[in-house]
Parts: sequence; C-alpha cells; structure tokens
Amino acid sequence: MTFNRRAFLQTSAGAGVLAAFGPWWSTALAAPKMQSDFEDYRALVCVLFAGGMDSFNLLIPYDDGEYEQYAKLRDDLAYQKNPDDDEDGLLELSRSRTDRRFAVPTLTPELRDLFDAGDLSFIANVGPLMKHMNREQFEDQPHNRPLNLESHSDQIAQWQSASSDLPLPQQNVGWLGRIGDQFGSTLSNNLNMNWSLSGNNQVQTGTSGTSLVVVDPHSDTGFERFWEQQEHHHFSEKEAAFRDIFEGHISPDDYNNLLKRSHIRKLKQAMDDNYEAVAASSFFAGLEKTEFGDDRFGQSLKKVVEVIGGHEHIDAKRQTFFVSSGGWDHHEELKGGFKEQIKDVSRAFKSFRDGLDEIGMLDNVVLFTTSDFGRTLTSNGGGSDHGWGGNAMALGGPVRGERVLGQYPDMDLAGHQIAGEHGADRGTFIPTTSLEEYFAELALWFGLDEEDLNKVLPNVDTFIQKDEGATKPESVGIIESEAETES
Amino acid sequence: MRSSIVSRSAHIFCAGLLILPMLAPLAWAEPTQEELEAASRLAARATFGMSYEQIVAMAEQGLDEWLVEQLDMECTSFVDIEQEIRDMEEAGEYDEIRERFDINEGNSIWFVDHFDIAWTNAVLYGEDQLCQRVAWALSQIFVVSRKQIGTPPYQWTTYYDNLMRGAFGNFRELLKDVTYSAQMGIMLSHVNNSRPRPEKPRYPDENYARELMQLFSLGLFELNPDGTDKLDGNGATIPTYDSQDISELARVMTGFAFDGEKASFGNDQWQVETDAHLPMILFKWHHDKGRKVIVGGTEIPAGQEPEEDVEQALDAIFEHANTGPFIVRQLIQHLVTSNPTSDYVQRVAEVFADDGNGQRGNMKQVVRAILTDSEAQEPENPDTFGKLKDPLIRLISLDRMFPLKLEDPDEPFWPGGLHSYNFHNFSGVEQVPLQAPHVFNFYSPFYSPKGELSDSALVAPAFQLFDMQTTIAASNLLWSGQMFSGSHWTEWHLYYDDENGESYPVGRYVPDYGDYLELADSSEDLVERLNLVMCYGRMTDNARSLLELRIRRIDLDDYEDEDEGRHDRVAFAVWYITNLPEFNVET
Repeated sequence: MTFNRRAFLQTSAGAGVLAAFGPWWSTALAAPKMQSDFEDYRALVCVLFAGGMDSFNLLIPYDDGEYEQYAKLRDDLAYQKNPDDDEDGLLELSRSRTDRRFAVPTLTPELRDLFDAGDLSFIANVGPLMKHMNREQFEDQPHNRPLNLESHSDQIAQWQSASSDLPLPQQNVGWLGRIGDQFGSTLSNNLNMNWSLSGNNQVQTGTSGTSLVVVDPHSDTGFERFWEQQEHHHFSEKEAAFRDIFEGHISPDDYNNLLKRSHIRKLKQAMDDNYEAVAASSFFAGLEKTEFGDDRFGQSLKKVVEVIGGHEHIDAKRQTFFVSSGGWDHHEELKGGFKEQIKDVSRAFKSFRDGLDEIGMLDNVVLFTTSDFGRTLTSNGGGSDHGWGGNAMALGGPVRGERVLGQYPDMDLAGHQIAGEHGADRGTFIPTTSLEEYFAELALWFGLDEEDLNKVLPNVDTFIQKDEGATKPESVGIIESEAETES
Repeated sequence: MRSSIVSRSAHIFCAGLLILPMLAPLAWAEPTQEELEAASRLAARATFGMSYEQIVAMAEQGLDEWLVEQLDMECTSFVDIEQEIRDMEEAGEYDEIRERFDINEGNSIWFVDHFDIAWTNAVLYGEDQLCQRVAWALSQIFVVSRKQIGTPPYQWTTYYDNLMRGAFGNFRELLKDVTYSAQMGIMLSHVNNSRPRPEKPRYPDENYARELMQLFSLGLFELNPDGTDKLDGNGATIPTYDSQDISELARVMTGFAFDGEKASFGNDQWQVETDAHLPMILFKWHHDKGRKVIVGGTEIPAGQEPEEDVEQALDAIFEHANTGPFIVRQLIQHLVTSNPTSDYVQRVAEVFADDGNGQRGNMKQVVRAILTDSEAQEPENPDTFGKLKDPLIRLISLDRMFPLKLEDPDEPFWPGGLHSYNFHNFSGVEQVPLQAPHVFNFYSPFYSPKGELSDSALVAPAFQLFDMQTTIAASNLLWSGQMFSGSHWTEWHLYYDDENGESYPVGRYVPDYGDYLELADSSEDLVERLNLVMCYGRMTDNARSLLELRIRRIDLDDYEDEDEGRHDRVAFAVWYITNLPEFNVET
C-alpha cells in the first residue's frame, strides 16, 4: 500500500476535521522525483552525543604496554584490567580483524557483542580538519586549524556541517541537509526525507528545507491535541483563525519586516509539517519481539525503527534520521553519570540492531555517531576537558564490522599527532581521519554520485589523492564492498 | 480560619512584590495615541507586560520619567521572598492547606522550588520590572541550569539575586559574584578544582575558565569598538585567546570550595555541611601559586594570595577591549533588536567604557543607553529591525496585560497571595527560568535561521526555539488558557503535586478581562484596544479586518448570558493575536 494523502483523508478518523481544509490541501506542492530513481531503501541514522563524549573511555587499548600508558595518563579516570569493582572493568573485543587489542567497558557488553558479531565498528581518532597535519604543522600553521577548536558551539556545528572554516552565524546547513538538496528532500507525497527525533538541528537542514520533527501528535505539544480541544463550542473559530494563516489570508507578503515574514512563514510551515507528521504516524510499523529501554535515547531509536518499518507506505527510498543524546560534557562525573549513559547507549544500540532485524531492514540502514569533540586524556580530578579527535561508531548490516578503522593513536604525549604544547599537557589528538573521509563513504553508500561529493562536503577535495587519479577520498573502509557481502 | 487567610490575600507583600494601584489618569494630561503606542512599545522591551491602565499611566508620566523611576528602584531580593515563605510556614499560615492535602509535619507544602515561587511573584507583581527584565537577560548570558545540575535545593534564589544586583550594578562586581557563586561552581565545575599535579598527571578543570571568556565576557574573536570582528592583514578574524590562555586561567580558578560550618576543600555535602547561599571560599593549599600569564598577556605573579589572583584575572577580563561590545551587543539583542547596527553597539559600548563619570561597567547607564538610543526609537532600517519575543515572555506577558484574578474567593489558595507557575505544564515551550539545556542558553546569539534571514546575513536568536513542536505547543497552551476560562490555566498557576506526581488544582486563577467586556460589543473597539496593548498599534489593516470578522462570528445572541459571549469574544481575540507576527516580533 502506498501512502496517499487523499485516501488518508477519506479514511482516517480525523477526516471530518481535516476535510474542512479542502482549499489548503489542493495547494500542496508538487514534489521532485529524485527519490524514485532508487530501487532499494536506505537510511542513514545520525546519532549525536552532545557535549563532547569521552570516547577514549569507550574504546580502550588493551595490549599490555598500551594499556599501561592509557592507565597512567588517565589516572583516576582509567578503567581497570583487574578491577575491584566490576563497573570499572573491561571487556576485550574480538581480535580476529584487528592487529591491536582493544576493549570496551564491562558496562557495555552489547557493544562488545555487536562488534564481535560483525555489526559494529569503531572509527578511531576522527574529527574536523582543514587538511591532514602533524604536530609540527599544527604549531606552524594556525590558519590551517579548524575554527575555534575546543569550543562546544563551534565544534558541534562543524561536526554537523563538515565546514570547519565557517564561523557560527554562517553555520546553518548540515551535510545530510545538503544531500536532501541533491536528491530533493521532499518525498513524492510531500513528506520530508529528513526526520528528527530530537527537534530542530543543523545536520539535516539544507537550502531546500529543514527536517520533519517527529512528535507524539496526542501530547500537549502535538497537533492532534489542537483538534482534540474541539469540544469547546468556539472550536470552529480556532480552526478559522488557523485557516487565515494556512490559506494565506495572512501571509509573509503582508509584511516588509524580515523577522515578521520569517515568523509567519515558519508558523505556516509548522502547521503543514504537523499535518504531515500526524498523517504519516498511522503507518509506523509496530515491533513485536524487540524491547527497548524506556530511556529517551532508547525510545527515540525505537521510533526510528518503526518509521523505517513503514517506509513503503510513505513511498520513501532514502531517509535520514537524527537522534541526539545530551549530557556528555563530563568535566566531572566521568566515573558516575558517564557510566549510566554508556549503559543506555549500549543497550539501545543492541535493541536498534535487533529491531531492524525483526522488520527485515538490517541490511538497509547505517547508524553513525558524532559528538562535539573527543576529550583530554589527562584528568582534572573526576573528569576531562575539551579535546579534538575522538572515536566514533558505525552500526548496521552494511558496516564492515569487527574493526577499529582509521588510526587509533599511540598513548604517547610526545607523539607527532599531539595538538601542540597544550595538547601535550592534556592529551589532545590531532584527528587522523577527517570528517570528510568519514562522511564521504556514508554519502556514497546512500547513493550520492561521486561528482556531487563536494556539494555535500564542501572541503572534500582537500582529502582526495589527486595524483592517483581518484575522485573520492581514500576509503576508511566503513561500508562492506559487494564482494565482501557475497563472500 | 479560611476567611482570615483570604483577608491576608493580596497586600501582605506590598513592600517589594505587589504593584500598588496606579494613580487615576489626570484629566489635564490625556496622552495622545502616539504617546500611548510609544509607552506600550517600551513596556514590551522593559517589562514583562503591562495592562492598558498601566500603559496609560506610563504615557501620562512620560517615558523618560518612568525610566528614571525604574532605574532608581530597589531591585527585588529573591532570598528575602524565600525567607518570607519560610516565616509564613513557621507561623502556621499554611496549616489549612497542610490539613486539606494531608501533608506531614516536617514536609514543605511547596512542591516546587522556592525559586519558582519567588520568580512568579516577582515577575507578575514586582514594581521593579526593568530590573527584572535585565536580570532575565543576564540569566541567559550567565547561564546556570537547574536542568543540568539536578534537583537538590541549590539555593537558586541566591544565584538570581547576583543577577538582580548586577542588572543595575557594576559589571565587574557581577563577574566577581558569578565567579564566586556556589551555583556557578557546580554548573561549570570550578568548585573543588585543584592545582595541577603534572607528575600524576592531573590538571585543573578548564570548564569555567573557558566559558568565562567565551560566553561571559570576551567571545571568540577580537572585536572592534562597534562589535564587528577585527580582521588581520589577510582579512581573517583574530582569535581572542588560545588553548594555553585557557589553561593559564584555569590555574587561577583553583582552590574554590563551598563555605559553611564544615567548609573544607573537596566537601560536596552542600545540603548538610556547607551552605550554597554563601559565596565560595578559596583554599590556599589547593590553589596554584605559580606565575600565570592570561589572556592579553596579563601577568599574575607567583606567590600571591588566591583571592588576589582571582581579582587580577577578573580585572584583566573586565578591562579587555572585547568585553564592552560583546556584552552590550547581547543585552541589546535581549531588550531591543537582534541585529543592532554597529553604530548602536558602539554608542552603548562607549557608555560601558565610561558612564560619563569615569566609571567602567555601570550597568544602569548601559541599560539606559540601550533603551533611549536613537536606533531604538527610529531604526535606520525598519525591515531588519526587531526581535522575536522570548517564548516564555510570550506566555506570561498575557498575565500582566490581563491580570489574573481568583475565580472563586471561597476556594482555598496559598496565603499571602503567593502562587507559582507550574512550569511542568509549559511542556514544549522549552524555556523556563534557570532551566536552559546547557551553558549555551536556550538559543545562541549567533543563530541565523536558514532562509530569508540567513540569506540577508541576519541573526534571530529566539527562532532557534521556534519549530513545529514549540509553535503548536504554545498555541495549544494559550488556547487552553484564554478560552477555557482557566481549567487548564489553573494548572499553570496553582497546583499541588502528591507523591505520585498527580496534580491537584488549588484555587483557580483566571484572566481578568475587566473593561474589555464593555468593548466587546464592537469588534472594532475591541481590536483597537488589543492592538494598542499587545502590538503597540502595529497590526496590519488586513489582520485587523480578518480578526474583526472572526469576532463578529461569535454571536452574542447565541448566549443565554451575553457577558459570557463577550468574554469569549475577548478571549478569542487575545488568542488570535498571540499567533500573529505583530505580537511575536517586536519592532
């Protein structure tokens, strides 16, 4: 069954109310059709650990010498090989595809299982770069550093846009949004291809639009609640008032002031989007077997699986999702709050994988993680400070699992990937994999043409090895090649 | 018993909290329409909303006089309100409520933070509106968040009093108060921050040092005196400081601990053994005594007392050329317009640098300069001028435009006329005092929404909170509040939560439409009055005629009691206007 707006209107319980909006519906936009060029369904799920996750306490070196360096540097923050308390322990990851030994905290057995089963890989020491650089170049070429390193607001924006040279006021689109601009972010039934479980965000914003924010339509904040208030005898007036805006009787053109114009335009957009979200929500797939935790992050990933399960009904071939998890700025509580949070993440990732398996979509989805930055290796007593390179995760059927990709740094503060004098004190790494290299592979898997890569990742050409005649950056190796899939 | 509580209702807090009845309009000074609109416009910027009567009184007084009076006013003390609440509890004023809801001896009857009660009452009834608007702006610059820190009572009233003092005080004092405040110590983790021990290796927490410079004073790029970015020879921006500067300042910010009876470094038992009402103290042994070189090359010599180190660092930050334009620009954004011209910023920054008497950082004069600047009166470019209302102000300004009244005086309600917004019911609005998601506030001063605004290189900070969820949530809330005569409205204001989190309304507050009911027979008269109070006369002819049409469709003949019909007309018209750009964007 294909989702059809008119069919929905005729059959849904809300048809009486919605049908009153006849003139408005008929003005619905004609949609671009790029989506229909794809035969299979694919989704990219962007997870943001907001605040700057201490990911060097999620992926930990386990070879004896390297572990000792780690433990010495991290001091009170270090997880233990032989812990007094299980909560401080480590689980070694499968060694069959890595030439170094790695571990994750005992608190995250699901991550270990996902890794060992080949569904998850880490991308080591990734972050924003203007160009690849070592310590010497870092010190000599301040103009080649990303703008405002270590600043939350700037780095979180750069992770979403992959534009490491833009100051904040110019950070208003993201790389998934730019993909939407390439494909036409609107599906054939007028739904947006970019869905957010965590509100307005930059990564899914493109020139052609922002994301559809998934809300519970019956909550106080939802549009159904609006209609549920119709028991009041002046409901028809409320409806009429909104019609004044819907139908353009009050429109941006009534105003010269740009803020007023934007206000009315965004209010109308919010109403349109709410209609779409309400309509689409009736086609979410239910999950019978897979259970998710009741934490907000787990519930958000559950909703993503449900929407993916209903993709045929809304005629979607390509979708992106955004899920944010906050509270990762662990200047303290790295041994407290951080532990609770990684437990939730670990459980939610396993449920997400199982949920996709249950609806038969495991091979069609890649989840990838982002954050503001990695954190300093050295402790400030209970926590760590803002760093640069960090470790990310990729999860899903298409992922070449069981690997630590990129270059996991040596825990040597005199090393050539240390970010200057301050970095040598605090243990801050210059990333060895750029955001462009990380994201390019995902974008290509998603169906972007190689020649369009620089429209989505503006600085990608910097990372192309031109002399080898290549048109794309060197592969980090996140996505399984077809040959590998067959074998 | 009940009647005695009722009789204590409104005036017990006259001293600092409640607005005295405005003087009757003076017959010989009837303000013109233009003067009324100017007064209403200033009310939108400088208060949490004003009723028609208050707008008339302000116009009669004259805006300059009004401003002088406001700036001379003593600012509310939130700590004092908290103390009065405690005193009333101890005096048995709440015994009846205690009995009615079966609240055990020893448990507070307030199931919200005392801060919420203080904030609600100060904002709704306090005379010192301008001081509170500036403090509200400062609370969005010097962000501490109850959401981030958690639920124990951290004496938020004490923190807010720092901002109330800072609003009309000196910026240097504000920097000191915030730096030493226990709440900020928790928020940005410089409490119990220890000197470096490289041999371990362990280093001071950089959190406060970084945000003190990035958010509270300097910003990331060097600024010209007019707030624009300074550029180097290649046309590139110049960073204000680097990682090393942060590390050095972090070394200054070591040795802080909670004060109190059992004060000791590392003691975080703030509820029992220490007192978060008190400023933090510095422990010499845990302070880095070495030489530091902080931002701008200021040298802090070795071997000083820790307090001296902190003073010198704050002096350097206060005196830095960025601080004036950086802070002034944000205050203008909060009070007047999101995109002030560089001349406007420069004029106010000059007042920040020197108030005319050689004093730097005189906030009273800065606020005066912001509100009286020619650009605030007659903007150079009206098409890019103005700002989106804060979502919270959008909601609660209605409670001052159409003041609340107790629907049924026989219902029990909180003694002293005190009540509190139930912020839990503001779901989806995403803006509650001292509950920003992080130190970066509810929105960024640099947020530029994609579209017409970003194409014109304009920022519009509050638009960051304006999405398909919050817009509809606010409309739903306002519809409930205005149209349902308080059934949902009540829950915002007065409530009692039992142990299971069930809410019980205690008394019902409803908007008092008073004279508006008399205007409601004529849709034209009603819209004209609301246009003045809510939009200072800026409604388009189109919006006015559409609204008048909608009002006339509420037929008074359909009602048994025509006054009910008049009430519905007013309530509907108010709600309609809350959706319009004329109300939401202040120009």
